[in-house]
This record gives sequence, structure tokens and C-alpha cells, in this order.
Amino acid sequence: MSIIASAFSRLSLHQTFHRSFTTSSVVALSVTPILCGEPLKKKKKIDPAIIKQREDRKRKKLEKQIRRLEKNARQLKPIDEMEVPLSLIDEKDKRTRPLPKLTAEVVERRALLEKSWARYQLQEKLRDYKIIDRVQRAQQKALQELRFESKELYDQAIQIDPNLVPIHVDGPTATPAIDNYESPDGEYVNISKKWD
Amino acid sequence: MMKKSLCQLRNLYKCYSHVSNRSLSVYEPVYLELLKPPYPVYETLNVQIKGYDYAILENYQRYVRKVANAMELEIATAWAAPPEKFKIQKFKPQSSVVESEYVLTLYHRTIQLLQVGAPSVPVLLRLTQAALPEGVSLSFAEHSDEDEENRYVPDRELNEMKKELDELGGPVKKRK
Repeated sequence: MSIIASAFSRLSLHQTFHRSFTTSSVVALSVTPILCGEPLKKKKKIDPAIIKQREDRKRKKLEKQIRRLEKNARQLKPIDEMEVPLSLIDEKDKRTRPLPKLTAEVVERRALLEKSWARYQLQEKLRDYKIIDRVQRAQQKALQELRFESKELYDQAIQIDPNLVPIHVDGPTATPAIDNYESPDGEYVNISKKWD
Repeated sequence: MMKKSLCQLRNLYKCYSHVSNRSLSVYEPVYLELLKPPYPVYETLNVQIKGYDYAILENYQRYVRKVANAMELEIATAWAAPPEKFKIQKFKPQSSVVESEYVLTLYHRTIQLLQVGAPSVPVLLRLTQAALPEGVSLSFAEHSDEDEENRYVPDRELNEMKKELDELGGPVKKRK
């Protein structure tokens, strides 16, 4: 009996792939559990030429996208001090003051002052130009003389001085540095906006 | 005396020999030689100024332009870089309680000069350094790609794509 049953069970298992079945008690058949296993699939061997082709296609696609993005105009970093803060624009009415009426005398005096300032500036500028001109001419003359004296030295003199550029110069400070100054404890952190 | 003048004469000949040569050239127009700068040049020279006081910095920038113009140097462009901000905290002695706090802004300006002859650079440096106002620093440097890159907002998407492409092995070589 048991042999027949097992035979039947195997039979029914075989049929599971073709139709739905029930294992209700009415049929009174016990079924071995389904084992969902199958031999491992053999890895498909792809031609290396095809792999290369696929990669090339991917790279080309990326390149195309990069080119497209590069075509867009690049954005300059915003300069904080060049933009008027929104709060000032909002408070414009509050902040504008009525200017007092100036008397003719004051207007006249200011105009004269402005003119004499302009004159002074002009003189200053001319002085600057003169100095620059003098320095440059003196340099030209010296180089010319050197050239007459010896061409080799002249050639050396006009060469780019690799020790000069790059150079960094700090301007004067309001007060001279204090000798042996013990600075207080504290922190000095750069909090400017980071761009990555 | 005679010997010295002879020597000078020879030097003079050496100096002008190339001039006479170039006037003799038949196949090339003369002005091509004349257009070449007489001294070795810095192709680009960036004059960068930094300062904490905006008004003074702007005025100094004007002065640098003026000097460069007077020296007949070619000014290509001038630009501003975003300011650097520093937070400075002073602690009370023997503790980490903040006594005072300051925020300082360091503004940047750059003026780019083109084709600066080597002998003009020390002159320009002396003239600009002599007029350097309080708290402003000046630096000369040749222009680099990095300076150019620093002016723009970096495009993250583009950079990522470039990185990915590099990982894949660089751009595809064109067939010839």
C-alpha cells in the first residue's frame, strides 16, 4: 500500500508543473516538499570585444553629457559687498532723511572747495606721473648704457627675476607691534562660505 | 682711452648687429620683428590686494590702475573674489568664557596685467608698495588656472561625472 502511495505522490509531484493541485485530506496523499533547486546556470561567456564596446558606449555617453554641461555658462561666485542687503531695501523709506535746505552761501563755498580739491588732485596726479616717468626713463637710460658697455651683462639684466614673483607685501599697521606681547586666549576661525 | 672707445665701438656693433640683420630680411615683413617685446615678459601678472577696509581697498585699487596706466602696462581685467570672514573670540583669563567676539571681513581684489616686461616689475612693485595703505596687503603672482577656477561656483554634477569618467578609464580615444 505504502509503495503505491509513494508512487502516487511522486506522480502527483511530477504533475505539479502542469496543473494546480490540492493536498487536502480527502485525497489522502502525502506529498514530499517541493525542492526549488536546479543546477547552477553556466555563466554566459561574453566576447571581450563586446564588453569593451559596451564600456566605450557608456563612456561616450558620459562624455557627451559632460560636453553638454560644459556648454552652459559658468556661474561666478557672488560677491557679498557688491549686493545691497535686502533689509536696507525694505527700510529705505525709514532711512531716507529730508535734506536741509542749503543757503546760497554754503553752496558757493562748497563749490569752491570742490574746485580747489580737484586742482590739488590734479597737481598730485601730475607729480605722480612725473615721478613714474623719471624712474622709467632713468631705468631705460641705465639699461642702454649697460648695453653699450657689455651686451652679456645687459642680457642678464633684462631677464625675468625668478625670486621676485610671486611676492607678498604687507601694508603698515596702525601701531607698531609690542615686543614680547602675550596674546590672550581665544579662537581665530575662518567662517567664510565653503564651496565644494 | 683709445682702447676703451674701441671696445665700446665693438659693443655697439654687437648691439645693433641684430637690428641691421632684421632690416635685411627679405621674406618676412619688418614689423613682425618690431612687434616682439624688447624684454622678456610675464604673460600675465596678477596684482592681488587684500584689506579689511572696503573703501580704502577700492581706492587703492584705483591707484594701482592709475600707476599701471601711467607705466603703459596693459590691464586685461580686474575682479573681486568673495570676501573671507573670520570669527575672533577672546576668552576670559583661565577659562573658556567668551569675553568678546569680533567678525572681520577680508576683501579681495585682483588686477590682471598682460605682457609685463621684466624690468617694469620692480618699478611697479616699488611704486605700489610705497603707497600701500594701512592694513592692506599686496601680492604679485602669475596667473594660474586655479585662480580662474576659484572665481566660479563649482558644478557638483559636472565634477561627479568627470570623476566617474576617470574611473572608467578616461575619454574614448578618437579613431583616426
